[in-house]
Amino acid sequence: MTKRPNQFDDPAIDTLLSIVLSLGNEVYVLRDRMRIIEKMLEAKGTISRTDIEAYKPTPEEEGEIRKDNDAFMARLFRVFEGNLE
Amino acid sequence: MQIEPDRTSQATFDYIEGLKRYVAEKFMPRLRAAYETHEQRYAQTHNGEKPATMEQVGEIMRSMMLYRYNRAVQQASQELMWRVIYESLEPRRAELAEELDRPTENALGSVETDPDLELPKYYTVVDFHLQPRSYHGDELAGVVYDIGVPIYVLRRNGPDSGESGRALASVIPPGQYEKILDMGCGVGQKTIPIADALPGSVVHAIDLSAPMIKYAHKRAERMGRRIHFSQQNVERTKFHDNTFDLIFSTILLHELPPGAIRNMIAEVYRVLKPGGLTAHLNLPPYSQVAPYNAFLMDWETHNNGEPYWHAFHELDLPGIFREAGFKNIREVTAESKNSGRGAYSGKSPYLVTMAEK
Repeated sequence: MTKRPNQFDDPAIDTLLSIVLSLGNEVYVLRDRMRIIEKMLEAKGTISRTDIEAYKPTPEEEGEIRKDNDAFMARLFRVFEGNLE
Repeated sequence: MQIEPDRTSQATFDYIEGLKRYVAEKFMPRLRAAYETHEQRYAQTHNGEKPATMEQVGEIMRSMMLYRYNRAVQQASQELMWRVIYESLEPRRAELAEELDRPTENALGSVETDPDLELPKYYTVVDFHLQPRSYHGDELAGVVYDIGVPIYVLRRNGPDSGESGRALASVIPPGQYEKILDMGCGVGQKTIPIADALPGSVVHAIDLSAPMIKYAHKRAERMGRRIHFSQQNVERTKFHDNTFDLIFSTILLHELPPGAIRNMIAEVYRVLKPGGLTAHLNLPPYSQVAPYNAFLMDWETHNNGEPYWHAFHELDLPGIFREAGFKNIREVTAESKNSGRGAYSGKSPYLVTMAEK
């Protein structure tokens, strides 16, 4: 088993970043689910868990998801675009 | 065996890929720009000389918070990736494991595991690419690897993760190769493009990991390819002397320590027919890469479960082939249309070391 590498002198920062990115994952998945729920309600007025899990976006929607993904990352990491060195 | 992720898993994979794409496409250029400012400052205090070695680049980089964060996001995304893939498969573990063990009906090729094979220490002590339990320690390792790789490399490796295999195939001289062998085949992602390029060849592929070759077999059968997988050590195979016309590996050698590479190349010599060809595709050594890119490449060594990476990229590979008795040793570049995208080794193409017995 490989020892966990650290990128910062204080491993607490690495740990914290892992927690933040896991949280980002949860938020991202919730956003995705919310988008599907909204779409389904709009289209059919009804939803089910099975429908959500089996959901397949259209190619056009894939493009929207990709744009949303890029924008999500840009917001998440906005701090890196600033004066940090 | 086909794995269709549910929506939750797919969204999670999208998130991880988004993180990695952000690092490669947005964060890396930002880091480079910040580095150039530091480089100027460095030159001012060093008689106008810019850093010329990867060690000097490293001195600057390690002082930069942006560098630390860039790598920390990369590492965390890698760890998260494997974790979520395993989590997505956990509910189906028993069913998938059973399917991997079940003989394939009307199989084109074959698979042979060896429960008595002793796995080398250098191999079992590493979680390659930080994949938990590595290639050998989980029955689903092959399935997980095949899902992870396209996300990991941002789909640089193209359809069916075969890009580096297609790159290698493009430089193999046309000819009659009756029997061919892929060493360290993993899940067979690169075996298939080579087999496709050499129709009529009998294709063997070996790997240390039982979970990887079991899945490789299922995958090849699903894709309709006739390949004979077996669990063997590249340092000491069970093949007879003078068996193969062509022996190759793709992006394998950096996962072996230099001693094991020497043993492997000697073994290649033994099982290759006289006049047979051997070809090994890798990333170029540090000496052929700009210091900035070499430094970033070298990060893998200590941070991505690649402990032999540094030594490999400083190794005199042609020298090892010479020692083993090979002739006509040459190194050729193999272009991949995707090799530069998101790859921090820069635009460097693959390097193929070839030789004849």
